[in-house]
Amino acid sequence: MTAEQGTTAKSIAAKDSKAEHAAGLALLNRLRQQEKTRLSLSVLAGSAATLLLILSWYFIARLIQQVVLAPPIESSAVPLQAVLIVSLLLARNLALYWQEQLAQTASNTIRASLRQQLLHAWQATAPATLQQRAASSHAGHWLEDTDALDGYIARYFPQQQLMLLSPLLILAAIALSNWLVALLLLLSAPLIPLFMSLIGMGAEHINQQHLTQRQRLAGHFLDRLRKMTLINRLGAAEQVKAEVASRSERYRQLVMKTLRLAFLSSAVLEFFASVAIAAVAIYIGFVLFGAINFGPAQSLTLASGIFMLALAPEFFQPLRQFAQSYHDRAAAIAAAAELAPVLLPIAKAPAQIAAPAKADSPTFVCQQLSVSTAAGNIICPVLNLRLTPGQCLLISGPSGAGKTTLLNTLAGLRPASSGQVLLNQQPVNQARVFYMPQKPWVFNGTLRENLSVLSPDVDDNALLSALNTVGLAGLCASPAELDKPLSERAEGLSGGQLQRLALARALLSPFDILMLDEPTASLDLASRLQIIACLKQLKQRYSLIIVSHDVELLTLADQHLQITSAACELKECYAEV
Amino acid sequence: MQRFNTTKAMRFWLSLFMRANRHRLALGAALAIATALSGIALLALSGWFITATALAGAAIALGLVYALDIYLPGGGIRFFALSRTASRYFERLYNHDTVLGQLARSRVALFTGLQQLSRAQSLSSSDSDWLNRLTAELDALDNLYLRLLLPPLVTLLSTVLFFAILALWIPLFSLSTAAALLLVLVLSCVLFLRHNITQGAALVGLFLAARAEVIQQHEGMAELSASQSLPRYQQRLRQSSSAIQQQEQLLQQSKARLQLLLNSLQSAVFLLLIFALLNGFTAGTVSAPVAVMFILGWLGVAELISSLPTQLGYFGKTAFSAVRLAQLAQPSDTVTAETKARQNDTISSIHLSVQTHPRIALSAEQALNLILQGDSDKLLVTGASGCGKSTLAACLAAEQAHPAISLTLNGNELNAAEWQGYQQQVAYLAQGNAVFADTLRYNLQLGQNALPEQALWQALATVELEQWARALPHGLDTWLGDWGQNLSGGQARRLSLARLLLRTPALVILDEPFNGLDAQMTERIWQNIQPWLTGKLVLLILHEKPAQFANIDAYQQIRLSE
Repeated sequence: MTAEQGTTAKSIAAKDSKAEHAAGLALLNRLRQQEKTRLSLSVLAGSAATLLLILSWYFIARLIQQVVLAPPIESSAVPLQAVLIVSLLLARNLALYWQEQLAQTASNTIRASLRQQLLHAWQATAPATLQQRAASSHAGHWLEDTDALDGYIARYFPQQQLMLLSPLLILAAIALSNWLVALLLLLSAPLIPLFMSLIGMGAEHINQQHLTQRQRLAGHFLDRLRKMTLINRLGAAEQVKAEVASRSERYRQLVMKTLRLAFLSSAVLEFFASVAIAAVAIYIGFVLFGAINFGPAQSLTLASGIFMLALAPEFFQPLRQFAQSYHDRAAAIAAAAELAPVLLPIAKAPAQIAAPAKADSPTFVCQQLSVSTAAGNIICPVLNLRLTPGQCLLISGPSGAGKTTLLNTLAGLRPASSGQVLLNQQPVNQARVFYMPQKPWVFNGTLRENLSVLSPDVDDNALLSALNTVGLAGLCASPAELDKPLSERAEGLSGGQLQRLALARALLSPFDILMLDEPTASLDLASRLQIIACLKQLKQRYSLIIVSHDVELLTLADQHLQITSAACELKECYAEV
Repeated sequence: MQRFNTTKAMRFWLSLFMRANRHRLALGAALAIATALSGIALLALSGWFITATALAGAAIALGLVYALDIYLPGGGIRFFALSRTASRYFERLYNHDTVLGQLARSRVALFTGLQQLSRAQSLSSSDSDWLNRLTAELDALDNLYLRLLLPPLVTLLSTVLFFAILALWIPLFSLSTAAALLLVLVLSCVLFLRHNITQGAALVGLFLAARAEVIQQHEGMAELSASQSLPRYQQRLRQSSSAIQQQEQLLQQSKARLQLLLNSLQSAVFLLLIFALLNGFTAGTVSAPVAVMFILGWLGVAELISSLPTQLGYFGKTAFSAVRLAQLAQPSDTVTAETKARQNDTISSIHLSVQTHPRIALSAEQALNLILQGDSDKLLVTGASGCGKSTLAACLAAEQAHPAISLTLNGNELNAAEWQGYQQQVAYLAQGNAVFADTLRYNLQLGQNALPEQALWQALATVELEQWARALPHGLDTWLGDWGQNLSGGQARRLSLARLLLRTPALVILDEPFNGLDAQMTERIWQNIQPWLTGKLVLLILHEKPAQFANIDAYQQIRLSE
């Protein structure tokens, strides 16, 4: 049952993964360009480390041969060689240190800049679009997805370059000693990237699914946790627990599928590396024993044998590290594919926010406005209206007719199908509008933080008098009580109190227009009258747009927009009160 | 205190792993050690082999008789090459599977723990905080075994083994070097871990705060964006971004320093080893092939040591998660959740008495008594917002334990152990609307066995959602978005009501059931649910007594405010 439901959801959510992948890759490339210098220097340090390693093994192998095969060694030469080897090895460790530090700094800088870009993108995107995603998935973008790029920038990218440079340096050094061994290594090396890319491509695809699955799992958890009380109430605790178990199990299977392939790619590499080392060792042994005489066998000595044998694993080392960070690449591309569409809005040059034209009386104007739902159902084919301070527009209609969607459009929270909404001659999405949704936003913080969130610079007196105006003076007798925290779910406040708390925000700083979605829906008569009285006061200064069924509010309205039934016909009627 | 908790929590999770997977863990560790030893042996044997052949070749060239079997070592080299590959692949796969299986189980255990907690007390942590615990932190636990336990263990054993074998040739050097090496190694790692746990915890704290901040910002996006307050509000996130960056840099730096230290340490040991072995060779205690065997074998050990900083870098995050999760997963003493379901007697009378409840103003002066039975089986409670109507409903639904409440069923007082059984007989529509991120069907029948389609459609028709549901792309199997976004407030309200209509409870509690609906629809739906309400005990909560409702005069009425 649950599995079926999951599949339905998955097929709905299925998107063109190829295009996403390309967008992710493009984003990674763009970000990487920002830190080109540091990343190149990191690669340089890595190459220097390889060079130093080659040199130190040259001297070590020579020392061993001198001692083993030519016993009468001059004692004064040994300390000198020791100093040389020590300094080479230390220099190599330092080079490795800088390789890591530079790449890491590049990654830090890039991720910090990406977080900035996300903030800008959120500003540039219509809130209605943003709210189609769970808030937790935005948090995922900001934290996990951004961090998923770390492995790619700090490890995968430098490794990708070093995978080419380092083995080439080693190969050259070995070729100088013995071309046959170099040829052997050279032959085994190109096979490796071939196998790896074959396997890696599969892993990448699966990794993308893994990321989506992880987000779903997280969303599922949060959703069910929030409704824990209801779940208990419905007696569904055991059922939901089984659901959590099956989701976790599915997640495990999916991750294992990724890993089986990811590990296979590194196993292929291990295999080639091990076999090549074994082949080099056996070849060198046979030559030194005298069993092989062809090719460059004559020039092979114990020193060059040890030199080549010690460097053979190092030839494969960058490849091995690269294989490990291949996983990083897949994770980074998947995360970037997730982020790329989110960042898209800032690519379109953000409209310059013009200084608001100082009209004597701010007017709100809709011109040829057409609004439809996301599914394409027309809510309102054409709307022209004009509202000045002191005027109130009431929007009413049956449940589900699209009143909230219409109000969102008027508030500039979602784009209109056509036509425009202007406040003081500028597009409404650049103007300061007070908007109050059906479920008012109350967050985990103090009363003061909640009240002053739209106007941070107000003083205690203003806060207290605003509370008084909306009839919440009882919540807070003294300024000290302003700093008492509310719980996130606001269990301490009734629906009516929350509504009035949100309305109090409108009193704390000047707005050009107030838009309210069902401000009296969950209030009793007394609170309703209080709110209506309060709105009457506000009406003297501001324009008001109210979505409501409340007949009482009609007394406030100068214009009444009625949206009728599912047929979505629009009637307009003007009623002077 | 902090350190004690960390140790205890780590031990808790490890013992949980051990208990469930003892043989799996042993096999996993064996595979890991086999992998490490194969790598060391491959290089060591190769070194021995080429030196031995070089000496033999030189001797033969001088015309001396020299017996050396070159095929057996060659076979050994090939064997280790293959065993290294195979054991590494299976080791990684096997150990990951073990840990992921364990994590799936931990996930459920944690969910259960939280569920019990939510029954016992209202939950204090904010939800966004939880999300992080349950996903990122649970995932972080796999580091415990794969990165923090296994690699140091393998490194330690391989190092000890290497020097133990070396001691057969040069005991004094071997033992003293091993002692010095292990001392420095352990000391530097312990120092690193101590630093890492404080810095790591600080980073996790920053992450948690940032997550809560992002979620908060997006929940208030409409208000913030409409009032052009968003850029200023985002200032907090800008600060948290740079704080995260700084903290990460601190962690990376200490890791890079440990890496430099360990690399230098193994270089130093390497050099000492070369000279001790060559010295031994000159003195005649070590043969040349053996000397080269150890020199190249050391490369394998050194690789293990070099990989430690990367693995240990996960310590801080993992320890932090381990502590927090252990607290949640451990069965809490305060929860004695095992409750006997009350016998399935039909409830024919309920008496709720509330005295001096802090949220119900009217109960301050005298006890408030609600009695539902016989002819007076229906009750309407009205009052101003904030006067305690919803609290009263929650009391009747036995959702809140409070000394001020006493609940009597069929003449017997309900005790805490019987709550759960009682709740199964109550259909309670609370104020908030809850739409599960799942299909419409799931939303309707959660908590019940699969219901016939007919019944689901009937319930939807009763709340006038049938037309809407028929128009949905997948009918009953349509997914209702993450937060039920594709439902309006009124639709969500009616869906919540429909969910209850599919049940046959003894008691119905409706707290503002028609919020967000217009007057005509409210009256129609009220009319539609009359048959369902018949024969049941009912508590209806509204702001005002409605004038137009059918049968409403049959309800007793209590007003909680003036």
